[in-house]
Amino acid sequence: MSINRVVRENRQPIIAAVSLVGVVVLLTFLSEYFLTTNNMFNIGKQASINLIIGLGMTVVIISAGIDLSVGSLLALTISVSAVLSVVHGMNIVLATSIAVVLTVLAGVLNGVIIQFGKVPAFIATLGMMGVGRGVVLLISRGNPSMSFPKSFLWIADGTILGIPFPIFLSLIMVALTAGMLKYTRFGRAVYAIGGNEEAARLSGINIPAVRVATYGICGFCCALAGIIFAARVGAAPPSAGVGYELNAIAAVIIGGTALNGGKGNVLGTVVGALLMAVISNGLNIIDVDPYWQSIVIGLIIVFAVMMSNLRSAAT
Amino acid sequence: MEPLLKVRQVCKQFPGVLALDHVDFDLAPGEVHALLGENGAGKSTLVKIITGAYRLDSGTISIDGKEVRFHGPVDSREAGIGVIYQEFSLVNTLSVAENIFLGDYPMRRGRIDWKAMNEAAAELLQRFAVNAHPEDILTSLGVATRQMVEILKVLNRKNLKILIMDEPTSSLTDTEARTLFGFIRKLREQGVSVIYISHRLDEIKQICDRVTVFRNGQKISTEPAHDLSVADIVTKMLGAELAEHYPPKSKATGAPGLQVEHLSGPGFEDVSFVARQGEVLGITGLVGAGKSELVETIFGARRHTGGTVMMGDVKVDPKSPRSAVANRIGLLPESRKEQGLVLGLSCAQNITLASLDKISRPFLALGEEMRLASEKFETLEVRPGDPQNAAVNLSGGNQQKVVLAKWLTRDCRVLLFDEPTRGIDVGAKFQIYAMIVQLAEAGNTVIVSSSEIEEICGICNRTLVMRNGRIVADLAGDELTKEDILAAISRGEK
Ligand SMILES: Nc1ncnc2c1ncn2[C@@H]1O[C@H](COP(=O)(O)OP(=O)(O)OP(=O)(O)O)[C@@H](O)[C@H]1O
Ligand SMILES: [Mg+2]
Repeated sequence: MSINRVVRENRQPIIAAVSLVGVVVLLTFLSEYFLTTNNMFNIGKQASINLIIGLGMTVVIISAGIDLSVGSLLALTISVSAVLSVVHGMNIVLATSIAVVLTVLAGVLNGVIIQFGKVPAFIATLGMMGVGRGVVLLISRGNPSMSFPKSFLWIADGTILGIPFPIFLSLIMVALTAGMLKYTRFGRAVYAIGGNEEAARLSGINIPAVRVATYGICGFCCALAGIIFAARVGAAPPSAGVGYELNAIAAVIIGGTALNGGKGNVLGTVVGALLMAVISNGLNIIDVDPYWQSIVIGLIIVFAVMMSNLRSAAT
Repeated sequence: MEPLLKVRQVCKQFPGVLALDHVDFDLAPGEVHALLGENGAGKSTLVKIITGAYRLDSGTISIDGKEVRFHGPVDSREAGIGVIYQEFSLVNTLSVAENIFLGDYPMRRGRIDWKAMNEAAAELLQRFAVNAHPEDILTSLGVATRQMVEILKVLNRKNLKILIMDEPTSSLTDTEARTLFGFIRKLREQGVSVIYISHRLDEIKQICDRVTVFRNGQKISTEPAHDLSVADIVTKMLGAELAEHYPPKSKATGAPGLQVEHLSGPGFEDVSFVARQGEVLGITGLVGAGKSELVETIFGARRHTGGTVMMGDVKVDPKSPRSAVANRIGLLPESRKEQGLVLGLSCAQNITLASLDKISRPFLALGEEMRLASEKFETLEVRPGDPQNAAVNLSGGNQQKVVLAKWLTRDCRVLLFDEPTRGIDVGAKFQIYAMIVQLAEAGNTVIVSSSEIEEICGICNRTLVMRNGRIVADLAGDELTKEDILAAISRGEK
């Protein structure tokens, strides 16, 4: 594949990557603390939750769907495992496994409602966002003080081969998702459905199975992100993950995945998530009021998409 | 006489393709000017440059002696240019009347005057003998009817000076095409100039005054139509003579390959026939006769309301396209953009879309995918020849070849082709016919549904004639003529 084509077809992620490098260079000048290993690992850990959710979101968005329930699904994993292990004294591994399975099922339910109930993805997952949060509040009784056992916290603080575990897990998930999208029939079907569902159907692709699976995968990603979140915080705040759907969608869109489906890739999402994490870390380091962060992120999303669309309209 | 539209030295470069290479083109007032050329020659690109949909790299365009520079279709529309694109520009969720008046609704007291709009649309539909109701939603109509709506939408414009038609007849039958020529002549009398693009060369002499031929982005010639024979035009288009339009017909006929018994569904009723292996079975009839509905239902893309389908001894009741594909039944659908292609994927990815099992072991063998795609690209001579190109970047005819390649890759035992050569140039048509016959001779069952009666006569061993959703004639014999079929259609009328 020629370099030219790669550039032409990946304008948006390239813009995002260039901005990322630019921001890194800028912050390196502004603060000597910024480019330390310690801070880099910090950024990586910070990015990991949004990135892992973003991976699931990438799959869903490529298939021309959307999942607004990711924040609630993340909280569901956290609360279910906390309630089972802390309140009912269940083994933490078992409790977490049950929580993961339930979260995946909630994702699958999203897909089933969208596919078979013919409810638009936006509405179905908006409903799940409310229902999921409600379940979390119900089972935790609004009690944020449940704390996880020390051993559990290793997930956030431990390292493998010198790399913090959340970063390690993100890398594995990135590789798996990228490989799945590029090298499996399922991945190809995801692109086809997002690009032209009717043509995909007439090519014999099993639309219901693929669609339900994309939401199930997104649920699984939320569950993993939830486990990291729980280990980082060490507790189960019922408000965990509020607003995360916007961060995840932002990372995906900044990374060049088309909101109307059929186009996009995981690498873009990685760049998008890193860009968001670097900016919020940088603003922290140089002591900018945290309220500014969300303004900056908002502007970046609009700007990134505008840049790419203005260029491609000029044929 | 000063030309109405003057194109001078226009160039347009796409990544890797010089689509227009210093092109000159004149359109005289009140003439119908044919623009011909192979698939990918640059015809549609010139149209899009004239309307401002694409930006030109260099050169000039003038109207009435004044240089113009349109920044988009809205500008050219203001200037009196109307276009009927190769791809539809209709809003499928709106009604026929709303589409015809889109952007220019009749108003009364600040509100849309629905009654006036529907009445005006009804009048227009009737004047041009289009079989649709103003309040029909487009999705409920067939491709041909939609095409007519698209044409009416442009004809309805008041300031029309230049009408550009990019393959307007590719989804029409001869009868409807003749109605269309009637409109074109009327327009010409009113002083409207027409640029007419088509791959149906027999039409050209019927309505065109002059003919311009393109090849590889260059203008080859412009000549009065009456000086040219179809053979001359073909030679100019291809740069070589074309000896035959149709390959020899299939000689192999064997056991029944597909038996349809009392099949009914929306658009057709109680259809029974047997298609044999080795035979090319044609289905023809007027638009709206139910041909597409029938083949789509056999494939499982639409729900059937009764009857059975068998492949030999096996019952394969149409459930879904997925089960059809699993039973090795393939359908080349009528509309390539809406049903055939995933435009954002590469050509290679489109070609393997129905055959992913072939390249998954269990991970997709992308090298093998490229090999399969390149092979098909070579046999079908797709241009530009790189299968990694996104399908959206190909010319209309080349896109059609990609859809065809998808089903050739599938190794189907029963192939349903719905308008297989829509938008394909004369040279490539021969290759596709040869491919169809070859598929049949290899022992497959091939069904070709087409509204081009000549093509049906040229390749089919047997032909079913449909009318109003029923089969009205089953004409056997390789020597079938157009007249036989037309007679059968009108006999079915009573
Ligand atoms: N948007 C685009 N991006 C890249 N290449 C393009 C694009 N549009 C057209 N091309 C290329 O430009 C060339 C001319 O295409 P064009 O659509 O004008 O052909 P055409 O004469 O209309 O052919 P057809 O008879 O098949 O419709 C082709 O090689 C095509 O692949
Ligand atoms: Mg064209």
